[in-house]
Amino acid sequence: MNKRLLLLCLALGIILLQGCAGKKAASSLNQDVSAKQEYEESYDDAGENGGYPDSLEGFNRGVFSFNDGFITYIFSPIDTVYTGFFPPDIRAGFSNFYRNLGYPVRLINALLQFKFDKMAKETASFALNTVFGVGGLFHITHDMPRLQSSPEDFSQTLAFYGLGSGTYLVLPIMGPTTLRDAVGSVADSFAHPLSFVTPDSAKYALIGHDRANTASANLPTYKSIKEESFDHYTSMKDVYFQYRIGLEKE
Amino acid sequence: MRVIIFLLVLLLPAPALSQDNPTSYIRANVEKVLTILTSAEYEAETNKTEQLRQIEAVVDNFFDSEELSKRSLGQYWKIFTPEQQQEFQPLFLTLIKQVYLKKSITYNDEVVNYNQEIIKSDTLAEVHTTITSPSLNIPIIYYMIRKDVSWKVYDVSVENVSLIKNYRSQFRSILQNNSPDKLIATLREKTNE
Repeated sequence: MNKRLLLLCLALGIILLQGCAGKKAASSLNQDVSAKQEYEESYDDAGENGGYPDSLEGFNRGVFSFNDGFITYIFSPIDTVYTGFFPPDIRAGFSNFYRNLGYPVRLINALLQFKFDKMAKETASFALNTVFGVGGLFHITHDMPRLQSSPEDFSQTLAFYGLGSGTYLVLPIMGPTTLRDAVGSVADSFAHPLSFVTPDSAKYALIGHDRANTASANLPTYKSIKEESFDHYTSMKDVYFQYRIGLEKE
Repeated sequence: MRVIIFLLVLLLPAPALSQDNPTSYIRANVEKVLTILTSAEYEAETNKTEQLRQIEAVVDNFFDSEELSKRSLGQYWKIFTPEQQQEFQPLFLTLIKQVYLKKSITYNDEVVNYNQEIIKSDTLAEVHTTITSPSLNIPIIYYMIRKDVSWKVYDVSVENVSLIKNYRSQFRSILQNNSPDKLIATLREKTNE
């Protein structure tokens, strides 16, 4: 029953769209009209549907304020020591290294979405950065516009095959995610080279360092979002969804 | 592709080709801000407030305050009385200016590349730029509207995150339980900090 309704809507939509397209071709004046429509839509888009899915809002808000406390009172002071000890270039080196190491994950997910140009870009970047960037410590391809591509991950692959994001979820310490993103990052971790490191103690130390180093790089952004927002929780949720949807589109 | 773009440029109406196209507008403003930021004149700590004032003067005309407000409130714009709308606009403009200024100050060592200009219609355009620093690239898109002579910015997105959409989410969540006057009061408090 529902499917039929959906099909009907779809068919209607297509007919309407075709009507639009026909008109557009008829007169260049209508170009203005369609731009105007787009403008009105983008101005109302988040207005009617009530925003992003967040069926666990009560729980999420609780964890969110716990995380905020953790960041402010525990992570921030540690970060001050960390950033004082390692200058920005070294920290950027760490993040380049881990990013480069994540190549298999991005490659597999680009393949699963048939994004062959991305596979080529990722492979070329990986080769250049590994060979000429001292094992990936230097991101030498970062100013080569032709080699830029947004990172693919399994959650985006799932989105590519039509799976919705699921509800927003704030995890303790790990922070904002969605149901699909959480599943995706677990799946991705199996393909990540760091997961093959032995012994386990070294593996978890490296993964921990990668996470902490990334978090350290994102701390200023976190602080500015907090400072500039009226409703910190809603603002973070919105940033998270906008950013993830942006990645899906690329 | 380039040939097509070139031909399209030829087809554009004359005003679009004049000095006042979206990219040159953004470029001129960004460069003005960068010049002030890097000028030796303001090196000393005591001159910092003057420097900020100078930058603020540039940014003043950069945004379209009515458009910013309308879009940040979305459907709620209509429930604001004309007086409330009049009150809201300058406050929100101040906030956006503050946020934008803070961001431009943190990005002062980087190079700005102007990648693409998308003219959506006679009155709407997007300017796609990338800020490149030694370690990362940050894509920034300026969304622009032309109501009279000059193009103005009505939204800025950084890494695909639109500033105005972000505020719209927040305002919606505030206005679900509070009156417009309460929001205006909160905004006033925030901009006075």
